[in-house]
Amino acid sequence: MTKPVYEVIDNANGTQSIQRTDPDGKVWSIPFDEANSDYQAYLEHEASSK
Amino acid sequence: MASTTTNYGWVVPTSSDLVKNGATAISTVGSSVDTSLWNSGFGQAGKNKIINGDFRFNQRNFTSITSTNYGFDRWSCNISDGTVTYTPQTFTPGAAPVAGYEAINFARVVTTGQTLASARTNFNQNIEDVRTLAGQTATISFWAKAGSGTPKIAVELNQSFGTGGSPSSGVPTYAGQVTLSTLWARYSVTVAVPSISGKTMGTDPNTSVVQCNLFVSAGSNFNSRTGSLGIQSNTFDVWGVQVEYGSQMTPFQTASGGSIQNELAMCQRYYYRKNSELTGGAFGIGQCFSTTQANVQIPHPVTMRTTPTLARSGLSLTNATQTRQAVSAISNNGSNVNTFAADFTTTGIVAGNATTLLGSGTSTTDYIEASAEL
Repeated sequence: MTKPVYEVIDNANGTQSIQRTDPDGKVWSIPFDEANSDYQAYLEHEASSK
Repeated sequence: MASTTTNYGWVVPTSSDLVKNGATAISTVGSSVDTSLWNSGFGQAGKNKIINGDFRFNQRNFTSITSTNYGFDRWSCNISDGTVTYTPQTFTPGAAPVAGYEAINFARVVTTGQTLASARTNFNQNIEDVRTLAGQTATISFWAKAGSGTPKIAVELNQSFGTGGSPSSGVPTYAGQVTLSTLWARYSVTVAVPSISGKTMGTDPNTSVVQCNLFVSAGSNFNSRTGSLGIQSNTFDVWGVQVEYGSQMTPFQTASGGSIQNELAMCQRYYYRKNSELTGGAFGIGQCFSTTQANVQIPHPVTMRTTPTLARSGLSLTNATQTRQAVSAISNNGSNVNTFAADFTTTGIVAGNATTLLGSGTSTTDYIEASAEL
């Protein structure tokens, strides 16, 4: 794995977060917040993979 | 006979001085005023737009980075092509480049094997808010040295208008190059930062930036942004970065004006890490909402720029008998600029019970972290 892997997580109360697993195995939990730069990177990743 | 002023000790003439000495006296007073104003800027909070310019804070506890990522607080290294390492270095006591400022750390970037036109290595910090320095003359200064020879560093300020809606395109402004030696020396470049008049800001709050870039290697794709710096293989050491208004570099000072605690708080607007400190130390209290999950909410140390990305290392939750149950996953749920809030996954807990988020019990370095970097 050389690029991050993204997965949308459904929380029990109906909200969602984005799980990003980095190449080194570290896991981050990204909020659906447009001002968050990690969320912006996720949007770019999704756009480029379509 | 001349006298001296009460507060600054400026030498000023008195009524008994000869008129013929007036010009000399005015010159003397002028020099004294100039020196006093210069020195008064030494400790001025907010003068330096760079946070953690002296690399004191390394909350991520990074030891080496070889792909684009953050290392020292607020300092990222953009890396493309070749083999590049970004590491923290420690000054030998007394060896820091500024007399009277015993710095702790400096940054080292080593580049080798870059060949592509798209190759880049730029050490950078995103200064929040594109309004910063807009339409002003700015001076970027730093200490640096090279491992060998006389390589150059190219300096750029890159204005970005944020996200959301239809913001204007970014405006990169090449500021100039400096030529290093193998000895620590202070360098500066001065640049006219473009006005933002007529530009459209992104609608997402707190997302516009002025990116301060120190390019140490750049392929031809970056010629216009780096003054055709070119690809360089070398070791680059950097310390004491300052970006300030005006055409003169003034004595280095951190953004907070020299306060260690305030500088840390400024860093934590963008990133923080809380360690367990003790073996199995506590982070906060939460409530179990199933047999495998609990929501825990912990106040951030300072208000963050935006809702942060979260991560953790180690950790456990207490069960009904206050026994540690290892945490296996975290999901951001309810965080905002003031609160770290997440669902933690474990086993053997009871829905409705309270629980405590602890370290794993085997380490003092378990942690939670939150990132709202730009």
